[in-house]
Amino acid sequence: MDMRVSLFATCVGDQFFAESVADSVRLLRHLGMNVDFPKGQTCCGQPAFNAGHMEEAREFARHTVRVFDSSDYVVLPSGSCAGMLRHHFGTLLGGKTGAAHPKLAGRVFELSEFIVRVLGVTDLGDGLKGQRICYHHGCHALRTLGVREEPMELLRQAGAAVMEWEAAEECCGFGGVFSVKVPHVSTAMADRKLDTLPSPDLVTSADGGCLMQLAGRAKKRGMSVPFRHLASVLWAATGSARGSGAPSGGGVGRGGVTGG
Amino acid sequence: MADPTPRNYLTESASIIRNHPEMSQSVQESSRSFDQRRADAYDQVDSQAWRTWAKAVKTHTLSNLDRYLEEAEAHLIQNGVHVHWAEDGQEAFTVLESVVAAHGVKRAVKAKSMLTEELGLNRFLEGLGVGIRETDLGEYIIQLLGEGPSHIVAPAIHRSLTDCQALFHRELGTPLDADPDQLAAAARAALREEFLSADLGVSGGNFLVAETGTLALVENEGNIRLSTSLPRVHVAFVGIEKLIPRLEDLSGFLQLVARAATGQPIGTFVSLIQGPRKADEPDGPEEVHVVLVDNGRSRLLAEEAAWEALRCIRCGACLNVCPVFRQTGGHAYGWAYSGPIGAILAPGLLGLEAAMPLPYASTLCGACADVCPVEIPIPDLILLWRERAVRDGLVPRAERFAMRVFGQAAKRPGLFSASGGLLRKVPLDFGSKALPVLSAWTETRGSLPRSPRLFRDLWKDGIK
Amino acid sequence: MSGSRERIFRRIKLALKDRPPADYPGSFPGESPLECGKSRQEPNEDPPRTEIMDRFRGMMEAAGAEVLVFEGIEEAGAWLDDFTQGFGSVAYGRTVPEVLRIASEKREPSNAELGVSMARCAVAETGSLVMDARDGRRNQLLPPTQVVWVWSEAIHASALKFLRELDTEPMPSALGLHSGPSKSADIGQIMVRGIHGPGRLIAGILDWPQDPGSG
Repeated sequence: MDMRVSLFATCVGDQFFAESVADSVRLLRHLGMNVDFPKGQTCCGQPAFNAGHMEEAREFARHTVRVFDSSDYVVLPSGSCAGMLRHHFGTLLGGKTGAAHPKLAGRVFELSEFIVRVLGVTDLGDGLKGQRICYHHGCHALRTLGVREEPMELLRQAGAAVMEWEAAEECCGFGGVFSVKVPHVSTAMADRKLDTLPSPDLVTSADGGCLMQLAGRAKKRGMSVPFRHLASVLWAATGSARGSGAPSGGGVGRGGVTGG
Repeated sequence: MADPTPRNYLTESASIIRNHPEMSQSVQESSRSFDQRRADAYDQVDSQAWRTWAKAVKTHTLSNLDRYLEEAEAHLIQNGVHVHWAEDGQEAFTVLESVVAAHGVKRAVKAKSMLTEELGLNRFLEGLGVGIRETDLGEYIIQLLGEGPSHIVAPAIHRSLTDCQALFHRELGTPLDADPDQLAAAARAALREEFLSADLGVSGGNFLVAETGTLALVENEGNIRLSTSLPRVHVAFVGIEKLIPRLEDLSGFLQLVARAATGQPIGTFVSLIQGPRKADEPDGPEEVHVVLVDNGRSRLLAEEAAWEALRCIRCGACLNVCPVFRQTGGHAYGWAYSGPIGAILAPGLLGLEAAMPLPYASTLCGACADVCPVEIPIPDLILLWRERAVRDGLVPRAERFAMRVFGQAAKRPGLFSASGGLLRKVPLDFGSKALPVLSAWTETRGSLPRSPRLFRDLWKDGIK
Repeated sequence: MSGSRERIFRRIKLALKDRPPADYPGSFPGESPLECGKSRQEPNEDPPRTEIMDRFRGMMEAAGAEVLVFEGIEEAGAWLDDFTQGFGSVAYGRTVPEVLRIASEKREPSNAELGVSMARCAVAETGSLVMDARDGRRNQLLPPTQVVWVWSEAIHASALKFLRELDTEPMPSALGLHSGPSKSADIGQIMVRGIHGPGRLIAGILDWPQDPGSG
């Protein structure tokens, strides 16, 4: 296939959602993409950026721009990292606030966004038939990238019932450094999300940080609902998954984070 | 009780969540309902066009602030208003002191004003021996409780009906099970006496029109109209950023601020004040003073990008939509302006060091920027103050050190993955005091669920 | 503070020294006064009177006010005569025409049960009665029930039109835009009426050609 996609695993993906990042690769290949993984990649710099350590963030930004310099598309299994590349690199590297870095402009996408907007695919298969799913909108996917319907559409087309969730678009309280700098409020925010959660078969999101926050809190509270990274759920949607990210299977470090 | 200060944000917010869940509940419910009403009110109009226009008017005004201030001052004087300039709270108080002395003021009524909260005006007046009564119902409640406002628009948002029943029972003798109408009637009767006997009315100001010197005030109860109409003297404290160029601009701002704040098409009562009572008018104050207050605003105006916070029209929409604010209400922030707008006004007006850690009291979720009626890029400005905090050495040294180490790995994927690999061998769930950052996480969210192998190792082996 | 003014101006000028002045965007691109839609207002084009009246009535009623339309002086007078029966005392605004007053016991506004005022004009878009200080502010604010007469001809379609016209006239010391009964949700977030200002507001629209001598 001719379409070349460079995968940016992101540091959270690399460390905590390795199987889900692998599922992203499987999914993209399944859709006919030629996936490569530039080995030089590290982190988008967001942990430093959001905490105000701009010098360090700038190092990561410069490096990342260089690593993906020759890529046709950069696809990330993370809304917030995609938002970082798309909207903050420009600012960090001397451009206008909120503007993309010229070298990356128009080439960076969150996974579900890429599938729907660039590939024009909404039907992945019917691998989620009968599944009742809650989708957590990560703030940066939702507000920085404007990705709202894409993941929901993919889930629905695959047969899932996306459940109404009062707090679906509210922040989970992760917020990078916020989660450890203001832990009580951060935890209370996760509780608000979990208190309003209906009884789905699983909860998914395009952002690993949010999933760690919500799943960690849910587990601590003794809730048994599983949390899965969107990449794994979408791979399961194709019906090709064998346990790895399937809603019924997987465990810690495979399909993402479990709550039970 | 110790004076509120941003410094105590962490302990205060933790205490409200832990010890006062009912307070958190009150704030949750009312901020959500305010936000829903705002959303509906925005949907009824072309709110995007309104906000873009309002942003442009405010940006234009602020970029010509000296000219518009001169114009407003000239018209105020022409209208017979006494104009004063105050650098800070102390100077604002001095103006008030001279008015109190010149008129032999014994009793004062005050209309809700965030600027006077910012300046800490009430405590000063008590020192003068002048009784000052807050007349906005919410302000009245918190004045009786000895508290500050917990919200820009709804100062008693953290108090429930039960709290008010107990308070009014104690203060006004209403039955413990009095319904809201009975409570309101009791407050009305008590405050009516205050209005009729006060010599001085103190107010803030929502907008000051440069071309006419018109001061506009917005409210729902009628207490501002009464405070600015009944007493012999009216003193208005107005921040120098409250200017708008033309009278007709009010058509947009009066409607926008009401929709953003409470979802109403317009505040129930709008006062447009041109000066003291005229010869052909049966009543109204004999003297009107406008005190133009800087209190850090001109300094903030000089700050690159951060000056945009001065566009704020104090609607409180960013508080209502903020998931962080909703957990605690405003008291935890330790300053008059809380929530997202407080996080960017505090460093500008108080100085960054005094404002710490408010710029960190945000997850940067961005909900605030989506609703701001004057399109202040709040998350961007929060980031800007965080950057400044790091530069000024206001973050913990351990954090600075950790980030430097982290930064070293930026260009070195080998080191980055090695440290990732190394990190995998460290037990993350030991909840040790030695790593407070880690225990801050693990205490409520357990250990971090690392994948058994890094993705880059999976890739090396080939993804099947 | 004599030196303060100069210091403040000096800092402002310094702050703006290198900042290019931003353009004024022009007039408020307000909504159409006829419908709560997304359409923009056509400049200088007044909608039909009936639509202005409907909008005014709709907005006022939504805010909890009552709206009555009278087609002649006798009708208005008869209604007031009847309405005031329920009140022990009435206070009148100074500019209320003599024909729109009833000879019941007159009181000072601070202890009158009913206040009758004359609005200077009104705004349909926002459902606001514009109260002029020349009519008397105490009377507009103190009685718990308020009847406000307004000429139908004086109802402006939009706030923008009202303010533009206002700008060309000598203004009183204060104008009040009253857009419903006094309300507050400060007690447990439950809405109550009549805190401070009038708890009941009745707009009486005088819908006949205004006699040049009156009002």
